Parts: sequence; structure tokens; C-alpha cells
Amino acid sequence: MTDDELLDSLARMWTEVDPVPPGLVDDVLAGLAAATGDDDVELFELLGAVDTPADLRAGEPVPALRFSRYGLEMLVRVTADGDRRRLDGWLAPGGPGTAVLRGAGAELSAPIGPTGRFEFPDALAGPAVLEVRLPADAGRSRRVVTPSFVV
Amino acid sequence: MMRAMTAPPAVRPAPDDDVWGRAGELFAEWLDGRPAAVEDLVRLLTPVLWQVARGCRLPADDAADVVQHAWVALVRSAVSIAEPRAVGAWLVTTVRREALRRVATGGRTVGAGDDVLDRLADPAPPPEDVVVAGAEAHRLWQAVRTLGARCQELLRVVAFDRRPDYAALSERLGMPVGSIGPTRGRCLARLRAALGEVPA
Repeated sequence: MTDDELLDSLARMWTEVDPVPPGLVDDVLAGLAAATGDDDVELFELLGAVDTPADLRAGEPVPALRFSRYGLEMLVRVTADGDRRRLDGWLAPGGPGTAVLRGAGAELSAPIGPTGRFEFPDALAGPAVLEVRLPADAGRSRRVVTPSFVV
Repeated sequence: MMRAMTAPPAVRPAPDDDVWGRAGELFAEWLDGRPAAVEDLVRLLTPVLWQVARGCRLPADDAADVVQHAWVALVRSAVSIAEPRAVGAWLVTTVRREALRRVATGGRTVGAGDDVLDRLADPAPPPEDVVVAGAEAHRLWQAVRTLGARCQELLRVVAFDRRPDYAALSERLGMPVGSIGPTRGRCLARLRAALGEVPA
């Protein structure tokens, strides 16, 4: 057996003992559809993780994802309680608007308050994308979607 | 255990199937305006990217996340990839860089194969066809387990990417770039010995 043949065998072995999770391809396709499916949809850029200030929530600072898109900035924080996930979001400038969380085959929506605050107290764990819909000029709404992240 | 039932339709990731060439063709079709080509591309390369991320010892949920981000990044950066054939290398590099960054900053890794061991230790008897199909894999896995963690990691990387990013590997494995090639040779020799095979 040549080195290449042995490495081919190893590739097949790892594919068998540690296969790609069954839902991952579909999750990728859903994420791409959200990011590219509609020319009117804008994409948030992930700027990285930041610690949310302690005054947002009593106790230890919790890391949050920071996203931005022209004129908008958003923090998203996921906290786990056993199998349950809680997602808190802050959008600047504030609402009114609607936040839509898509993932794990389900779609949830929540209002964005005038301070920019929104929350999904019982989100499903797993990869998801978050979309914000904001009223814009001429009766149209502006839609901005995050890349997929894990809830 | 229903491993064979839950695995996706087999796209063999071994590069001898010219996965990279096919990926380049699909990417070119997508750039030319066939939207469905990107779906074929995702189905073709996601299993390979998964192995790349897992080969960096990322836990499964982090590995899935890294793979997803790489695809979104590809779609957003598509115009910057001048040569369609380079799409596979671009994705592999993106996944590996992000995986290594997370390993370096997050400190969350799994031991080489720890959770794979757990799966293989599943006491539920698999269907007979899986036993037959898995015989070679089982023998190889037993042999790979006798190797050190560094050898296991290096072989997993090169099994899916014959020309890996040596600079990144060097940093990750804590060895000079110049010693990766010889180490690869020694790891393969040890594997052959464990398999009881006379070198080719």
C-alpha cells in the first residue's frame, strides 16, 4: 500500500467513525439561503465577542456577539439553563421593529422595543440566524440578517 | 448504533476522487449563474470541511459552527476568489484558521478521538452490514489509537488535505515547518507497524 493509498484508507476510516452530523448540510444551506436568497436582505457583519456590561444583568459579565451593518449595531447574548437557551438582544438605534430567529427547523419572532431591547426567553439550541426587520422609507421594511451562529 | 443509516449519502472525501476539481467546476457554474450549483458544492465539501475542523480537535458543536461560517464567508467573498479551482483550498484554509483560532483562544478541545472512542464503545450491536463495511475502519482505528496524539492529529489533517498549510500546522503541533514532512513519514511508518504491514 502506498502512502497515498494508506491516507485514503484513513480518510475513509475517519469519515466512518466520525461522520458529518446528519443535519449540518441542511443547516449550511438554510444559512446560505438566509444570507443570499433575497437581494433586498442585508447581512450583518460579525465584529467579534464582547463582554456585556455587568449592569445589563446582575452577576458576572457574559460574552455577547457584536454585529454591525451600516447604521446599525447589535449585541446578541445566549445564556444556557440546562437544555433551554435564552437569547437577549440589543439593537442600536432602537425599534420599533421585529426580530426573527430561525434555526432548528423553527422560526420565532419577538418585538424590538424603543430602547432596542428584544428577547427570546425559550430559544431552541443549535445553529440559527437572526433577522431584524425595521420600518424604512416608503412603507418598505429594511431586513438585516446575521451569519449563522450557535444558540 | 445506526451510524450507517444517519450518515449522509457517501461523498468520498478522499482526494483521489478529485473532489477539489469537481468543487472548482461547481463553483464556476455557480459564478456563471446556476444557483443550484452551490447546493451541490455544499453537499460535496461539507463532509471534508467537517473532518478538517474535527481534526483540529474542536468539539462537535464548534466544528459545525466553524464549517457554517466558512460557507457564509465564501458566499460573501466569492468575487475575491479569482481561480475557481482554488475554492476547495480557500474553504479548507478558512475552516482550519478559524478552528485553530478557537482552539487557541477558547481552550475547548476534545482529546484526539475521545468522543470517537465513546461512539465505538456503544454497546448496541450495529446492523450486520455495518459490521462488514466497518471492518477495515475498525482495524485502522485500532492501529491509529496506538499512535501518539500528535501523530493522530497530523495524519488526520493530511488524510484530507495532502498539501496542508505547513505554517499553520507547525504552530499548532509545536514543531518546525521542516520537520513536518519527516514526522508525517515516521507517523505513517508507525501506523504500518501497528497494522503489521511491510512498508510499500
